[in-house]
Amino acid sequence: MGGWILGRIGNGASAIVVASVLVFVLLWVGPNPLEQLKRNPEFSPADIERITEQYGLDQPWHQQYASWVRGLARGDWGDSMVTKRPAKEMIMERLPLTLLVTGLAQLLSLAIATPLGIMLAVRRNSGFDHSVAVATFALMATPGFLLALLLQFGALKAYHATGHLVLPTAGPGGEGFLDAVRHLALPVVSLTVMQIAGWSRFLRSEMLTVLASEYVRVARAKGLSSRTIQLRHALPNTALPVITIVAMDVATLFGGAVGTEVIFGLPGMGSLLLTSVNQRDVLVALDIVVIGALLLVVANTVAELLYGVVDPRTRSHS
Amino acid sequence: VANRGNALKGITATVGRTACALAYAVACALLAAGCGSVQAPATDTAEGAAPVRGGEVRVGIVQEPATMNPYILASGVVDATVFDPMSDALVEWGPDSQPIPVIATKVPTLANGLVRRRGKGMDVTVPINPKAAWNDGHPLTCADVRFTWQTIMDERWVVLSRAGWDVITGVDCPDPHTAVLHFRTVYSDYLNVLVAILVPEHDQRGKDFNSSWVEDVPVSNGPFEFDRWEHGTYIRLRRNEKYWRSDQGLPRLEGVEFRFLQDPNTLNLQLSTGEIDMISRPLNATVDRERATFPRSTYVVTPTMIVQLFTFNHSHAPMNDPRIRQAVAYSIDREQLIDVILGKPFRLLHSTLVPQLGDYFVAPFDRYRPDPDKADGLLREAGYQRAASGYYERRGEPLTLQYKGLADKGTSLQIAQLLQHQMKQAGIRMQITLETPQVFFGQTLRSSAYDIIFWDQGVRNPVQRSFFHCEPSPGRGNAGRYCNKRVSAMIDQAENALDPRVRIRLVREMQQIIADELPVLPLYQRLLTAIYAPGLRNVSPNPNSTVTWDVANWSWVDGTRDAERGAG
Repeated sequence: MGGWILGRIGNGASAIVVASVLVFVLLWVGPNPLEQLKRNPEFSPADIERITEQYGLDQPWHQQYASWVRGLARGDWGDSMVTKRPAKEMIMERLPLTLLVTGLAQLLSLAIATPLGIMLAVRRNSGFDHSVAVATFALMATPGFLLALLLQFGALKAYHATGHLVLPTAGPGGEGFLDAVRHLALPVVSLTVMQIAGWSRFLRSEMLTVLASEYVRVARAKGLSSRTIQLRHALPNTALPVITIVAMDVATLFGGAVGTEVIFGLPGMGSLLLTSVNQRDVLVALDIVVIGALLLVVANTVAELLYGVVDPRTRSHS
Repeated sequence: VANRGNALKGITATVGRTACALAYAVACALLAAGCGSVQAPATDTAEGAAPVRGGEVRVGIVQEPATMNPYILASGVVDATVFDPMSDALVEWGPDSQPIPVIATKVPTLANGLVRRRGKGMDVTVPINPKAAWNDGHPLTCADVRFTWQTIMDERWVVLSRAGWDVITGVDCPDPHTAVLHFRTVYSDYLNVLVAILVPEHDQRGKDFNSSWVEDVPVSNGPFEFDRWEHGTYIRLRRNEKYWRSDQGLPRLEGVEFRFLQDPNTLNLQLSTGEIDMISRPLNATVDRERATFPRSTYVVTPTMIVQLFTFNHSHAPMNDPRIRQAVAYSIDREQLIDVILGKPFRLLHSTLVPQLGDYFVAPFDRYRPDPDKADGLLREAGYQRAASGYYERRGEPLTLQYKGLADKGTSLQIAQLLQHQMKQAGIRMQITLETPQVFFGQTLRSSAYDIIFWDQGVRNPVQRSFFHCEPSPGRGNAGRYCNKRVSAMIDQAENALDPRVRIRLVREMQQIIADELPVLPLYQRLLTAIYAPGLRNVSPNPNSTVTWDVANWSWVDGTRDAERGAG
């Protein structure tokens, strides 16, 4: 078991290295900051020399990458070229909000999509099933930003109707717990609704497959109640694919958080990523991408560990 | 700073542009529909009631400043809108483009004897108000003016621009309340040095200015002082309790908060719900369409000192031929471009200057109206014949122009497409490329890889050395590579002329030559909107400055934010 876990962690680390090299090279082959500085008449040669030395801009990409990795190993994530602040400080003040919003969305999605998926499978081809199918397909076809806009518009309509701003349209809040809940409600709902749509369809499909299997027929023949069959026999067997999709959707959620954070004015990592890419703040952008990759790898490693727990056969196969 | 700020705003838009544009369009439509039932007449100006102290104002802005230091260049710039409430300058440009003394007790001019020629140079004497002080109570004196010059000229600091300061050879302080600036040459644009943000000597001497004012500004001299910066969310300024003009009841507000919202649609929504009190941004759509989005807000449109124009490339064929430039000018229906794409209140501009510059302003480009016969004559004279393809050709090659513009302008593509259509009608093929600011400024302008560009020029200084002199000043200089020795000599003369009458005469004469030779063809003056809560008083947008330039005078009608007293 120990070797198996180490193997999974090793795979994850390799993925992070590959992702970071790719991102570094992509940013490196983009507009060269040193060339841009040299072309800018507002910089004197002394300014260019100082900035070049400070950020090692005249070194080849692999040396710059190695220097960045050495810095990471020392806990030094580099300084932002734009704000001159340590990248680590900039990211760490943003990371908790992103984790909170995406984590809440993930939990809520799971809590709602699981029973919904079961209900859809059990009541397949009913009016309820068809109605939810229309709604979920519509949601899956809706761009995330449009859903966010509609939620904001709903908040605006409610404000005009009542004269009270029940749900603020943007910002993180911060004047107490309730204020934070009010401010985070719309972004969390926006991310959650998108996830529920996809996950509930997926669960429905998995449940239908399991409910049609031999052992369920046997259980039914033994006279077990439908509820017992669904919850004790069918549901655990849908766990493996569900774990997979939840782990994979960490990346989707993280990517979706960029748009959500921008639209809802949340100072999270997504909005920082957008700002740093726009401002060619290479180190900050790189650090954020690596953290995103790290989160994805951690989620997938946890998922693989859970496979082993849920179904010990996967351990022996691997 | 303003130009780089605009460029950076453009950069900010690059990644999320498509989504934001669509989002904005959808939200405008939704808002216009949704607010229909609660419409109230919008007003153009806030009139009236006696100023009451109290309340804060929340201003929504799209781009968060990278640092608070307006002088030091990183890759971004502090938004001057954020810094202005913390800073009083010696002199400010007023809304009527006239200088207003702020910390100076008088605006130095030749007429009042405070500007004097001295050999080849000149001296500018600035009388400093003895009451002027920093927010820590330390008096603001000539030493601060001298230290500001020393700081800006210090080679150790990565200062954005030293323009104007590098003509100064020294600053003398005969007494603490008199600063004498010695200029190496006669420098007629000296007032633009006096509008600079002052650096407090007692706070900054001995410090690394590259690292100062990055996270906060502990010592400042404006009506508000730095309070808190919550990164990604807001910067809050509070009332400067030791403000040196507090005996005039200033400032009237308790504080100003700048909220950062990257999505323009969210800014709109927050203004509609009273979560923020003000937005200020360039006007791209027609006023009527935007006004409908904010039926309950005060909506003010202000001209800016920025001209949107076409620049023709003089460095290579075909646009180095004046006949081709004129033929192009006679083929463009500029009136149609304005009417169809921008609508009211945009107006066709017949000058590279703006009416706010008073006597400097002339409109010599009004001669260029669509005239197919003139264009045909000029092209034939240049050796082109109209071919069966409908295009003019010379030696079998159609007359083809490379048109480049910025992809971040809301109407940039529409203008390019309509222009392309007009050119086609006139028999001239035009190929359009819209580029990101990095490519446009970093490559296209520097390598001169275009025939026509559509962009903007700041015209605060009517002499316009940067755009029409054979040896322009550093920066976005003379992109069209236009060079006329006579014009350059007139620019040199105008810059050395302290008598405004002489400058006005030279500038007006220059405008006529420029209209003849067509290095540029102006289209319109850019407009800025300020949209704010109806209870906010004494906001006076200024074409020469940011919307917060006179924030000390702002007040709420009864000392409370509209949103807090349920009037939003």
